[in-house]
Amino acid sequence: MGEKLTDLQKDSLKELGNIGAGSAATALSQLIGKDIGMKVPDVFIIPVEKISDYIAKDQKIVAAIYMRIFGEIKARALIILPQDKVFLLIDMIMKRQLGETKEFGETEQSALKEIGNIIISSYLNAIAKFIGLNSVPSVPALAVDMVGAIFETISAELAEMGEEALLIENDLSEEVTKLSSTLFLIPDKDAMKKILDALDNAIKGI
Amino acid sequence: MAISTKVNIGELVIGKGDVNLVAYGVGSCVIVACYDREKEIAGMLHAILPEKPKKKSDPDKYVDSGVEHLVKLLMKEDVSIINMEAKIYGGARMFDIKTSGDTIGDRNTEKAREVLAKKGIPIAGEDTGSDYGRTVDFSVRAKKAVVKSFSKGSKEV
Repeated sequence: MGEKLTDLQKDSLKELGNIGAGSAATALSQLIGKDIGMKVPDVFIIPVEKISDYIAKDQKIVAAIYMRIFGEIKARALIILPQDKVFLLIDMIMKRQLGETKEFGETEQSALKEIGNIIISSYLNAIAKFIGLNSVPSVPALAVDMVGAIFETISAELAEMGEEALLIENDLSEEVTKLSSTLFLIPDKDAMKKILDALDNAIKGI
Repeated sequence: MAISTKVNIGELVIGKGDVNLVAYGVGSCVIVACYDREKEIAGMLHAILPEKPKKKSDPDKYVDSGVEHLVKLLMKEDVSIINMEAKIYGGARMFDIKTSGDTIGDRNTEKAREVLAKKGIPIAGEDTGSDYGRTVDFSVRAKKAVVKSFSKGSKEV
């Protein structure tokens, strides 16, 4: 890569993130029966070894649902939930009383993976429709651990392919319970070019 | 109270005396701590990938070139290679996603063992592999680390 995004490219990628996040928010909202708000996505290119420093400034414990994306857009997608909100989300999904979930058993883990699967798939489908590139996600993997260790591992995977990575960061949150989650889409080097070209065409109306 | 020095991803730091070298949130990266058996001097490498591609600079990002650099820096500080010992940490598999071949974590650990063996530096302790992140707090004075994790508590290696 070694390149900078133009303002127009940055805006198009933000718009793409918006489209994905809008669809992801709708899916999450239907799952938990509450309104989900979202912020304007953040788009940045960063040296891979700095990702962990940049995003994971402390060693907070988080739940991370991770999926590899294959097909026309090769990418990685990741949802990060703060530890104290994970049980709350599981309560909502499993229709339990808020505060009822206190353990992280098999059922809770697979519920969380499924939530991740639904949110990420909705995100990807919306993007695919917009730019006309199809993708297929892997099964979701889950880790509950230090946020630094999670991003460090993803940095290593990215470092095998290049020096820099493009990250599209979307925040999804629910106001009443302060449930918050962050979704990252990290396209592979080749996918980034494909996405930018497709966006260009979509804007021109081709 | 020992002074703590942070060792970031892709960095190599030498510490002397009452100093702790600390790597936070180590996932698939590997930490190589190499020290003098007697003197209070040690170096810590926080490498991302096993092998340095020929065209790349930045030796401390990779296990092979990083260990080489680490040993060289210690020798510059008058540590003889026959007095060196090493400990390795990290190399976890954080996500259970099927990939072909070994994970980066496994390959990092394997490469660290291989390079140290080639140099004849014995591995005096190891806490590697498995599926959880670690914070490695290595005391140069004690020549051992407190390894902290979320799911497995902490231990001394």
